[in-house]
Amino acid sequence: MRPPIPAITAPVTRRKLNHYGSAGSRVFDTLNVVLLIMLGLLTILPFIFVIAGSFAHDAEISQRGFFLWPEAATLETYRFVFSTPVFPRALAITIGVTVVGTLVQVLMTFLMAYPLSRRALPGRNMILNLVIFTMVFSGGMIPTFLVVRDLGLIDTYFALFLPLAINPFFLIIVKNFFQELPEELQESARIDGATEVGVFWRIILPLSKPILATFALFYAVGIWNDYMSPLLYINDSTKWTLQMFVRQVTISAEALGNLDPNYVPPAQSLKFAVIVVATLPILMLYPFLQKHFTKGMLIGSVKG
Amino acid sequence: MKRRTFLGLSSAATAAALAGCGTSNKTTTSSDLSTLIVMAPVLDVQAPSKDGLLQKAIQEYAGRTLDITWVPNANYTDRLTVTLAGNQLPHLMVVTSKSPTFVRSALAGAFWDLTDTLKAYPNLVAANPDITKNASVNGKSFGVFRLRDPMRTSVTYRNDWLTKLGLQLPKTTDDLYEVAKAFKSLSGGAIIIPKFNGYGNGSPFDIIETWFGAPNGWGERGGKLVPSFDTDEYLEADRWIKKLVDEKLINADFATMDPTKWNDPFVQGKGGIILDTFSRTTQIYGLFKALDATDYGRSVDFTGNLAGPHGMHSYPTIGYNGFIAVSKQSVKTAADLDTVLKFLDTMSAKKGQVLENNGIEGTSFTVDGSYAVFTKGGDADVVNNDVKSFAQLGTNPNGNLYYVTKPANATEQAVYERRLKTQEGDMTSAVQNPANALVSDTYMSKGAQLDQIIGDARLKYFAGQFTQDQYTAEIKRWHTEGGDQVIKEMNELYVK
Repeated sequence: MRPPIPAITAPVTRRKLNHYGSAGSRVFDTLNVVLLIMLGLLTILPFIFVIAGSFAHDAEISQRGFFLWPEAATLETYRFVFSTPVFPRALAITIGVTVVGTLVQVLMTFLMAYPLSRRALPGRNMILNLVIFTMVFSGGMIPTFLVVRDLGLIDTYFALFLPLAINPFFLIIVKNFFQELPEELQESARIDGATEVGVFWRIILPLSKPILATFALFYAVGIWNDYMSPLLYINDSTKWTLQMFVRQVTISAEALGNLDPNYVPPAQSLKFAVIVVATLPILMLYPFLQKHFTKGMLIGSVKG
Repeated sequence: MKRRTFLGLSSAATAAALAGCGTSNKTTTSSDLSTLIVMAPVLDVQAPSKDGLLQKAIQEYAGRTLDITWVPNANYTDRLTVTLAGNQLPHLMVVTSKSPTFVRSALAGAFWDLTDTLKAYPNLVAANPDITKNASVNGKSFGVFRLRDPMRTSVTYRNDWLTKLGLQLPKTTDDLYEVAKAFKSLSGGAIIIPKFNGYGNGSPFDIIETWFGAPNGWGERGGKLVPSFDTDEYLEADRWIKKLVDEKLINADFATMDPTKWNDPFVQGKGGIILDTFSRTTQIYGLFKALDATDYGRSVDFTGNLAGPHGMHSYPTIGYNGFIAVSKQSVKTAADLDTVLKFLDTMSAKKGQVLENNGIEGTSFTVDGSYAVFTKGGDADVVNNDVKSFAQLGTNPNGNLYYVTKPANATEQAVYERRLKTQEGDMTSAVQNPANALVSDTYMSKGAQLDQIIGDARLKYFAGQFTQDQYTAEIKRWHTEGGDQVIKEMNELYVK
């Protein structure tokens, strides 16, 4: 049902950008699009530079400054990155820890959110208040380290995802989402003889696919990008994750260049290649989860 | 039935959770020092494997096993802080700087005071006592320092431009001025200086101020310690630098340029003079070599420090990069300390230094005269990689006794030999900073802020935003905002 269009200002079928099609709003729309394209370019161009730089020689990067396409493309840097077992092993470890860690973290979050969403749970309010308390006050680096150490998690992969397994903010969003699900569904399932666990597995979880995808992505990105945990808790250098290497290659160059004459900073192209190797896998995950993403974020936060 | 299993399982789960609440008494290893626990930073991407050839060779030579935790150096200080708080200190720990946390722990007794004990170990006696002073905390040595080049200042030039203009390498600051003017007329730029935050961190400005006769950081004037910027020579130097900035002999973006890209304008021909260290000279030679492998020797050249208007003053380094501290908690008795120090002593002997800095003779390198030639392939590559990390454990206070890498060709050989001569010559006129050894409380808490006042004011003066009077007013502000307290504390510590 189209709104009534004044005969004077109505050009033909125009429907794309606006109904009325006046010159002013079209100009506004074009300006909008142009601005957003420029903003998009501003964000993506440095990244293209990094990818291009990883395929270029170090001397070229020094000479040319900023470029989007290397003049003399070479796979030398990537060959170097994968020549030692160091990077592939770190990549494998990071992928493994991310997959297992995400599963554990998502499972723990959901298993905690579901009971908290049931109003009948005794002590529910107190637990929720404690959760919100941790959102505001955190232990800090040293107390957390002491706790992890006393739990015997130092130098194990568990230290990379267990200490911060449940994010209170995410927990509350998931809990709200569960609260939105109609009580009747759960009641009918219970009447049919399902146990609590059964209700959770067979009714609630299948309905939470968008939320599942969203938080799986958030947790996965969190574990993938985390360098603080491996730095503090891992002693054995064979257990290093990818982010430790990226940080070592990119940042140590500035930190130490002037102090230690025995130190030769890594080539610029190596820094770029390491960044690409560390970011690409997680970047490739986004398109697959994109469609669940937007739905998931809103559902949990907006009260229907 | 279901309810009972549920209750049973949930109580088991609660019990398991509560079990974690108990305190565990994790004591550190007893006095069995056959395995030494070490924590060290690793600069490279790959840390040595404990079953590697090099570690085995070192363990065999030293007669004990090493349990080394390699921490990426980019975040070494975080790990250090956490370890100091965690009460499970390794026997030996590399301490990269005299951070407030470390100083507090050391003065509180967490580390052995080695000031008088090191004399008993021949290889741990410092060849250069100035460095021991620099590495101490108010005169006390809390570790064995890791020796580094004491003089690294070098000025790198575009030699092909010098030849084209018919000029010689500068010897004084006036020569430098003439060369810079000539370079500017040739290419539009002369001296390249990037952004240095704060003050007193080896920036070209600090170097030039020393050349003019100002103290290096702090100096003795009239029997008392004064900061460098309170002297006339400092202002004279800054006036000279401002002249260069005004005549556009220094790049216009000196206050914002990214220091990691320092080499780029030089390579791109936008400037021809860099005041930094020999590492940078080596890097630039390397970059020019990549562009032209045969003729690059003619494109780059260098000198050491230049003479200022009041004679020759050279800008040295502190001479060390961190030290290895021995924790009192894990090394409990004086006898244990003796064992640990004997280990460090062995590693500082010639054979130990060779293992840590060169590798395994015959397998990973061969000796050619007084140089080492590194072999390639297979095991040698692994050892050569490990060597870079083990060099971090080397202290060498008795001087560098290992073999230097053989230069790749005649050009580099000549560069290396000239560099050694230049360094030796400059050391005779080195201006040491007596405040290196002193740890003032106010400086620990406010130091960064105070340095920022001077650094920013200096940059603004060069950029023309401050007149000289406003500059001196800012220096006065340094005094009133805590600087006077620092001066007082420094002088108290200095007399002691």
